[in-house]
Amino acid sequence: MTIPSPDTYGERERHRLVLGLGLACLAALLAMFSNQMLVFAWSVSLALTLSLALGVMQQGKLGPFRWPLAAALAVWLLALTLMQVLPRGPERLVLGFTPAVAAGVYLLWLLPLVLVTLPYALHFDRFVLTPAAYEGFAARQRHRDES
Amino acid sequence: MNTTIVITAAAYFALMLAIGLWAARRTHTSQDYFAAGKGVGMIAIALATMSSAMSGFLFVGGPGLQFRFGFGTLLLTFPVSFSFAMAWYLLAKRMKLLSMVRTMQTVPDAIYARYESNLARALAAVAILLGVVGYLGTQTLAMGVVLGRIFDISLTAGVVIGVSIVAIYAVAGGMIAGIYTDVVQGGIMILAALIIFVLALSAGGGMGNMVSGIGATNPDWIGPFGLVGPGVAIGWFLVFSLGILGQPQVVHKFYMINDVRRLRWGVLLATLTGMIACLIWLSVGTTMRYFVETGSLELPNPDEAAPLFMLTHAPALLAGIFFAGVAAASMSTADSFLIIGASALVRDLPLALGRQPSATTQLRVGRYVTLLLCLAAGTLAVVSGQLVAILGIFGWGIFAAALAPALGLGLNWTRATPAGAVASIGFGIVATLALELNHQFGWLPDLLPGFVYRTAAVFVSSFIVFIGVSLLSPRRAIAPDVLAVMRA
Repeated sequence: MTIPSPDTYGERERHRLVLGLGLACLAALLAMFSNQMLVFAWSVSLALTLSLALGVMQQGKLGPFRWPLAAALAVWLLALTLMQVLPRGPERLVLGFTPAVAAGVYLLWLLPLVLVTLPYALHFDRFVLTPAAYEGFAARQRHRDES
Repeated sequence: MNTTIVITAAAYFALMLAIGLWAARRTHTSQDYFAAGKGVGMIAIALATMSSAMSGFLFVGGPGLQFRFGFGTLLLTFPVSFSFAMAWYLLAKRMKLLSMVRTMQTVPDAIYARYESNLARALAAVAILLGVVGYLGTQTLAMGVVLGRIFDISLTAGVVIGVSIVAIYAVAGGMIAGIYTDVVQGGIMILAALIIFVLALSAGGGMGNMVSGIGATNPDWIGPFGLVGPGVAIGWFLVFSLGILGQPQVVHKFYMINDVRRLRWGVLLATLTGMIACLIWLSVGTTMRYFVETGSLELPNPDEAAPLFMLTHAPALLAGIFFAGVAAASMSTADSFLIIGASALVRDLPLALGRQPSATTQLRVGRYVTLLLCLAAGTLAVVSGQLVAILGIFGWGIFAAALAPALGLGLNWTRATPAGAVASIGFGIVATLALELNHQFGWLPDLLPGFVYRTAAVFVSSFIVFIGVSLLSPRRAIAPDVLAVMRA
């Protein structure tokens, strides 16, 4: 079974994503202990985005996931920030919730369905596991079994 | 005791037992018992994944937690719109492809395939056993609460009845029974969740009315982080999104799907049904708090929020379906966890110690161990005195801290090393247990400030340990077939 070189698979890019994830985790830990909740929220948003990017990256590229993941990062940053700065009292409600809670319900809860989950289903055949990639894997497997 | 509720519940339980007996006839090998034979369709996998991640934790524990701590607990539910995707992005394809090149039944099998380290496999099995104890406690406690309400009996009697039913079909039907009962319950509970959501909102006069009413007497409860504060709430958000990568009840189902190309739509189905199920958490917890704040109700035990709402505000038939559905959901999830725990004991630990039990031995001993775990779970539920959700959060936390880095990153990063895996799994186990036990028993003053969520601190530290130790330790070759999976 022939395994193409690491560069073909974008392992350098994956390595960078993991290093970024490690730094995001470190920032989250420091922010948590110093009670800097905005920084904590931003670090969490970054860690989530980098993890998703690591999972879906193919040959060092994010392909059709690039913009959805960028938008998801923006939504997480915005929602977790708004939840900490918008009014928390019941004087004015937005669709049944205080403004700060509404940011959570309508941004943090609903939008990632469209920005993160739906793209996986839409781009599965074109990017996550193309028919050619699957056939190549299956052929290598058959060759290995026969030998 | 309401006759309609009892009859509906009894009919539902009979259906579940019938599925258990049907599954028993299809269970011939250890592969069937521990991994449902790898021939399960996409819809069944998606619904079973959602059900096993939610179940008693969501339907009983969730409203109870929301009732007690306010809107901050919603940060436990917000990740559901993308957390299944997290598991699909990082693990679904790779776990399934791994099961095509190797014999894969459990999560420690994947850990061993990736790192070829018996120590890593053994530690993963220990982490799974500890997490299973917490999760089984959650499920059996939820069963006790709900069965107690259906038959008007004590919590202990409810736990005993629930554990007995689970023992019958877990010992007989193994993972196949767990998967298909999850599917039936998942479908019914989604329908029930939608109806209950509408009922709860109308009982409280709409969300805006309830928020205003609660805010008048308890303004912190309606804040975005409720009574727990931003540190804990955002920590929940992190652990329940990224932490899904370490949940064996979710990720080992990827072995079972019959064709890797059918993973495509499963993520959307699991997510949509999960989001609908979360409506119960939001609506029932808020409505019951509104009743208490406005003086029309007293509720000393938060876990009674959902059962009491159903008894007082839902039609008897729907209440019967809800009660039976929740009890049965807890039972099937308990079933899955029992099988996962049993496989850790009879397969993963012996393999890690260099012993290779035969498939027949695994199946036979697995059934005895399942029975023993049933007894242990029932005892924990009765004596722990914890809220349903708290035990579930502990179980989720230890899986996340111990397994997510080694599994989720490990299968996507070739520079990860066995030393990194051993260090992060070991750290996750020891740190979670030490902090949790110290918090429960108060041996030492709390080691962390009150605004830090213990599990989140251990979780991110475990990632740092995994990455740091991997970078500091020498690179190790990866088996060619596993490397092909990682690069597919």
